Amino acid sequence: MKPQVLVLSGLYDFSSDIICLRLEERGIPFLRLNREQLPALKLTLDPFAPSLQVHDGERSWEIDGGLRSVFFRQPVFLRDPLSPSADLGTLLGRSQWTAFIRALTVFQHASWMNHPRETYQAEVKPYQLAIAKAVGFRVAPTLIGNDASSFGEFAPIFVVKPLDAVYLRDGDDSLFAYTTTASLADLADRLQAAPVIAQELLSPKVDIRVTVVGRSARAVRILQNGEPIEGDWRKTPKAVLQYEDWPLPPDISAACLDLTSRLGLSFGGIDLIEDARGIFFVEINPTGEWAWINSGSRHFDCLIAEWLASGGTER
Amino acid sequence: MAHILLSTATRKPFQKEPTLPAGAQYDIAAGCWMLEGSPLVSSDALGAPSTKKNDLETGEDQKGE
Repeated sequence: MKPQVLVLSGLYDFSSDIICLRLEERGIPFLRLNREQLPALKLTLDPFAPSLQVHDGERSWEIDGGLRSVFFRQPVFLRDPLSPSADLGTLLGRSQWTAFIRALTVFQHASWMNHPRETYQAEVKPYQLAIAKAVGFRVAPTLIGNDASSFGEFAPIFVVKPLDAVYLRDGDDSLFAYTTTASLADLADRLQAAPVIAQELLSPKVDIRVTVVGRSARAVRILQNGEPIEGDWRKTPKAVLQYEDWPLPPDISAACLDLTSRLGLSFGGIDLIEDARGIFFVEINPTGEWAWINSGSRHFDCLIAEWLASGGTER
Repeated sequence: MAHILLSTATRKPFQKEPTLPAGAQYDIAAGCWMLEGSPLVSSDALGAPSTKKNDLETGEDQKGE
């Protein structure tokens, strides 16, 4: 079989399951490769043709110039915080298979959602903020570092968030750091070891999530029992969360599309905050999640599948 | 004192893989998990995708690798 769409994902990325179902419904030949399963397959990449031969013992796939698009659901930073020690074979496989996945960028003619090169740059939060401001978004005053005395301009209470995701393993536990609020006193002797992002606190506020697929942008407001949520909404019990369709103002929609265009992204999950002064940019997730807000009125799965099927020409 | 990102972090039991319904199997040709002949994501067994990553908050952008 000659796939027209390549899905590079993980075995438990159920969002990719949904995309594969939508591609199947549209009769688009595809192949999904999960990083955990690569050692169980036989793969040969010819970087010049380019072509990729894949065998699973029963079936064969050949990816060549007929490949239209790639759905890239892979990490671009090798964080690996959860396996502090591993045997040599595991360490070797991890580094080399990760490099093999990167090597698939030899399929330059295909449209990528998103290309790892652009994802790598776009995941850098300070860079996101700079570009967002350049395209016209309001951005909360921000400083980054481990010198708490520099954050005095945000006093008395300000936002503290990680510069990169903090997802760590500690014995039988995992730790995840949410956005929090702090005072200068809270940070005394508690910042030197690692830098943070400090921002002016926007409160009261409403959280908004914009999902950009190609040139389409749709937004929801995130509420609890119909009311805005103070603090990091991800700490709110899921059962009481509501995702309400929110018509994007034309200038904000244009800024979202300008942002993804400037970042070279065909997909982006953009977090915004509305306060009394207007709409503020918070961050963009180049490989962000969308299934949690897919619904009868928001068909991100179909938009993504159609973009992939069209080779990136579906807008 | 612990760094503020550590002292305010949420702690949960480590779970390397999500808990799947008994009988769920991955179908490489279909590109999805199947349960009793139907896609797992279409069944109630997995739960509606109303939250990020089935309540395993690891950050977005595939950070929980």
